[in-house]
Amino acid sequence: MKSERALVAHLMRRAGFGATPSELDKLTMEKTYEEIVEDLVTPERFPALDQSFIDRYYGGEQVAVHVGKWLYRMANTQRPLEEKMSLFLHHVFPVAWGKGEHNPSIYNEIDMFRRIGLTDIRTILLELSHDPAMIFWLDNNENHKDEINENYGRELLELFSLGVGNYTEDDIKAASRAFTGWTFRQPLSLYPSGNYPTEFEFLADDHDYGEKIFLGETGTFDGGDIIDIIARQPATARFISRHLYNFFVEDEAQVPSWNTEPPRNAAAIEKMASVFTETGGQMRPVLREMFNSDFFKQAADFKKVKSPTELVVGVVRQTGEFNSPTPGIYQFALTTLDDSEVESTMAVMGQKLLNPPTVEGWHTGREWIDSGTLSERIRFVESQFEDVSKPGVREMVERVGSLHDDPAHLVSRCLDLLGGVRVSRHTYDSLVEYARGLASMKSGESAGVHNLLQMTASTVDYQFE
Amino acid sequence: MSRPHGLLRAGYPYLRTLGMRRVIGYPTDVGWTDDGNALILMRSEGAASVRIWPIEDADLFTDDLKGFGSYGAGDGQMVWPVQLITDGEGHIYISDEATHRITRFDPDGQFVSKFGARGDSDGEFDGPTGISFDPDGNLVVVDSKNHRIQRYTVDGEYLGGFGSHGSEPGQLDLPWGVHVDELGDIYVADWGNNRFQAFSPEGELKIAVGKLGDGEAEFDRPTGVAVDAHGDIYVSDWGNNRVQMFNSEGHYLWSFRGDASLSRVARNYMLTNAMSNRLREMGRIEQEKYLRRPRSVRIDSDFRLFIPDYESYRVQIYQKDVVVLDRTQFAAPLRNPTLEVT
Repeated sequence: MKSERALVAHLMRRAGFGATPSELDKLTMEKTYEEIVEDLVTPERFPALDQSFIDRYYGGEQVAVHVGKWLYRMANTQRPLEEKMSLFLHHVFPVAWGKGEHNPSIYNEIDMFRRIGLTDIRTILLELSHDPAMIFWLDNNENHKDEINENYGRELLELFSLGVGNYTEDDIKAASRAFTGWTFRQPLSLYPSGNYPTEFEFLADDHDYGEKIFLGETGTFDGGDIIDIIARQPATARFISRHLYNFFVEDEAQVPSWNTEPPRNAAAIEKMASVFTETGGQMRPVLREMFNSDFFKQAADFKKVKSPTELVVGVVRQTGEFNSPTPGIYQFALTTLDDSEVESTMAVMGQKLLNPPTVEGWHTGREWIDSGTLSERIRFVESQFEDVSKPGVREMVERVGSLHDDPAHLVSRCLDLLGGVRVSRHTYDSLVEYARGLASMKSGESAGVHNLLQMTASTVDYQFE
Repeated sequence: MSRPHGLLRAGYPYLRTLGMRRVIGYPTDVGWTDDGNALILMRSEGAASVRIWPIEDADLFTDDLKGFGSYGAGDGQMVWPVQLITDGEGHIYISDEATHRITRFDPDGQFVSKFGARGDSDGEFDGPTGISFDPDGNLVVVDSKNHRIQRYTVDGEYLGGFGSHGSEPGQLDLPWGVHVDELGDIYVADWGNNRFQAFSPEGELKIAVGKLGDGEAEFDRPTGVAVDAHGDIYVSDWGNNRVQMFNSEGHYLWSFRGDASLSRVARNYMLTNAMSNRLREMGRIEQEKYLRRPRSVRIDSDFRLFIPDYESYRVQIYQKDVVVLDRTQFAAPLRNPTLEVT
């Protein structure tokens, strides 16, 4: 073994969507932990998914179809961090389809997140400011030189880069003036032939070329200049680092309270922020530093609640049901916003991908969990592991062994096969007792190893990453 | 009917467009009936059926729409339908790559029979896609994930097959559409290899045309293939949003990129939608005429070319305009090019 199995399992859950037993075998046999981190932050080393192969099988207009394609990508990519970063950026820069209901814009935005997620903060904010979905979401198409709309300028500073307390109302006005004329080309109507894409458009005659004072600097700034200044701010380095820490390491307080609630691990944020500053806001070095740090390695036990997306994709990877295009993955993501008569499992769990509730995005961590969402999570997991004909379930059942093996060993193998799940002592003892009960069932009663897998995956402990 | 000695290619004008959003959903293939209707096979996640629509176009309201089939795995239902063909008696056959079966419907769209089971042995399928009748009335089926071609009676009796996975000439990679011409030759859209190939009835390779690209005779995921009674070959070039046309020797002739105009139903719909009309005026309306991701191409005995315009919820139709030439009107093939152009 070149690397520790439990630690690699932890890394793959956080930097990706979990590893299957076979993947863990291979990774730990062939690579050190640091080599695996390097592979994760260098996704170009691995082939990209063939989008035409996905599109060949999955077609349709509903947003759920496109979310389904994204889930398929998350479950099957050989570049897990690339996909995880697109999800991260969707959390940090949350745009909802429901405002404009213009499908191509929101899908192109996610593609853009995938493309730029591992670049640098200047590229990320510049692409974001050119993105028609974001422009419409925060009304920058209504931001004119003779009548500014401050919505995008405000959120760019408050939620997307600096955080509350690091700018003034005058800075918002200056930023907004700098983004006047940043709009998009009118797309064609939905009828009669469906949606057509749009693209960024700069209207020079609607741009305010006047002098502006922004964060103490003076000039005839445009949006790009504003982003340059933002990217240099220590506050941006800390804010983005805290976002990364919250998403990958440990649940933080909700974003709106960050100006009053100190970070859970201020030293970790400072270390990440210093790398961010030293590298000009490059994401790869910050992520490399984070994944290789002790604070990340020590954050394995109950530090982070899985988001509904992470739960669903993690389970799908383990069951293997969607290892190749198979009908039905879109059903995890149906919502009533999208003409469905029922809310799907992800909606009931509280996460409608491509439809975040507000510009703040989803409240994460323990706020994912209430009695209703927890019930749905457990129902979902239990149902997904029920069918032993699914290739991943079949493999796990074969590897767990016989119900008549030592119950403690059975439970340990289940935990390992489910991706190196950590459980409390109480949960472990309960599972051992359950395994013993399964083994002692009378002939004629239906019981199998998959029941133990179901029970293990149905524990509250499994809800943590 | 024998192939002509030559053709005076007068043109290939655009004829008309059928359908619009909400009337036709994601058309993936098209067939026709003897009484002048198009049978438009529609497929998206969670929805699958056949829309019946007059080829001469119609102005049908949603309450009057005709069709058959529904989404599901039951008899007469479909999950991932791929191609639709009709026989001389008007029976309709539809392949389904999710349920691994071919279903036969009567001319009224009622379920008649089905065959097929998942597997990789003779007589089994893994994702049947293209279907076509051979001159004997048997079914030629593309078994896409097994990368092979199989032949069956219409009742599902296995008659033989050929093909293997790979990129060498004659091999296949996730093939999609198929057409068998009147001579029995089998034309296959070789999706993964970005080419089309033609095989003799016995499976001997005759021609292979194409590679990845967007130039002439290059493809980005070819989906469907059709051959007309003159021997001309049409290939829907999905990723390049076009249909390419070749002569019977595989020589590139031209491309169809789309010329859509509003169907009758679309025209009437737009008359009552002021905002949509304004947005079309503000937008780049030229985009609206082009094909988007065609998944098939078909040509009928009247030389009408049908292109299911998958992402634009419609079918575009062209009309071939040629004059058949005899030996006195069409010179013998030249071995060399010449600058002595007359």
